[in-house]
Amino acid sequence: MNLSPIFDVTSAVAVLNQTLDYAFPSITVVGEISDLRISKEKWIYFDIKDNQSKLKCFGTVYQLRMPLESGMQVEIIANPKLHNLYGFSLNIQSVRPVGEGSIKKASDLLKAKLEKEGLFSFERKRYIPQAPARIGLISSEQSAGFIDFIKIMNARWQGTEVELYDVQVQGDSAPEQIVNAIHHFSTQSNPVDVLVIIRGGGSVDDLSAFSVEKVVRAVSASRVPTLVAIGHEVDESLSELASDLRASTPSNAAELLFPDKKNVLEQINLRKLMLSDNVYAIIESKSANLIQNKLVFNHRIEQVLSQKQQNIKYARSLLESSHPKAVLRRGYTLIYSQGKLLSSASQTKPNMDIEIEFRDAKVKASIKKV
Amino acid sequence: MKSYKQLEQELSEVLERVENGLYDELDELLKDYEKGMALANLLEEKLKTAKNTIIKVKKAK
Repeated sequence: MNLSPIFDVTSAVAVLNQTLDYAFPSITVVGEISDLRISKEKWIYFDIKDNQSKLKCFGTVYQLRMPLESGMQVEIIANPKLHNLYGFSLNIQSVRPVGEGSIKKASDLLKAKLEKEGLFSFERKRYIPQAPARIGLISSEQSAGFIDFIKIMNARWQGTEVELYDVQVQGDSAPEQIVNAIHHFSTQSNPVDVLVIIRGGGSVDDLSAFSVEKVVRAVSASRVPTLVAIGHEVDESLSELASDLRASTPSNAAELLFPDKKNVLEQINLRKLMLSDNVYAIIESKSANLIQNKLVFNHRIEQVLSQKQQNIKYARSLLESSHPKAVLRRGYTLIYSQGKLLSSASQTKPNMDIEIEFRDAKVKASIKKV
Repeated sequence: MKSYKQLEQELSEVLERVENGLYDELDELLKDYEKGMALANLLEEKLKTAKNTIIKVKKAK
């Protein structure tokens, strides 16, 4: 006698789904992607397999952190589901590459895609001001990267206000937190001068949050200029490529952002010296001009005086030469009659008494004939 | 209160004027000299006495 319940097909599917929901509302499966298909740029289908088994998976492209490819190792979180027409599948909640090779492959695919969109282009890069008064800092307060950054900043510079948005820098919730933090700084009414996003070194998987598509897009869309330093020098996250400036490490980020105050103090002293030298040079130049002008003025005055003296001398000589008695020195004489100078023979008549003036004396005479 | 950047900008402007040397009045030059020196001293003072501050704006959950 068969004691098993008897169902029609639809009821059997419903009962099995209830059982699955109860026992495994969500499961995590690690395996290799095969037979990946994307339909209408919206729906994604693939199998996840290992050496012996494979399971069908279904989801939307919006759930992907980055592009996928057949052959990649992934970890999926999914709801097991028995579809009334298409059978058993895993409905994807999230999927992320695992293992260095797969993460690298996924990152390369996303890099090519975003590069094509121009997210990494040089023309998009904005100027990062040095020694900013206010910075936004997205990091984990507990991380070595954060500690290194603050240590170098304090050693090099003073007077900066750091607004720290403490986030997880690895793990499943890291991308969402980082995106929210970037959004926070992008929507401030009084935005900070620079947004710094840092994380110290780690494995490829540890750093992968900074190559997740939504994080990279958020960095690229940030309203505030971004400086990003993830991992060590050899590590290169896609967020760094999308940033306005990349630093090799968090310490290097602090070095790029803050000048060494010892050098700055030296520069200030140099500027003081330059100021004094320039002012002295201007005063010297003005003084030299003054002396030159004085010399020119004196010379001009001398010229004018000399000219005047010449004029006076000439006038005097002219006057002297035109004086009536000047002719006496040249041997001529002046003739007077009754004290009046005679200038014409017509003024004379016979027997007229006259006085003749020579250069050295006057003599009296009388006219015999006219 | 003026920021370090603002003070630095003002000092640069004064230095540029003095470097160009286009002063009709000697008084203007001396005024700029005094202003430049005061700005440089203020910048030095700021660098020596200011402190970095860290404000925790949010901790993500």
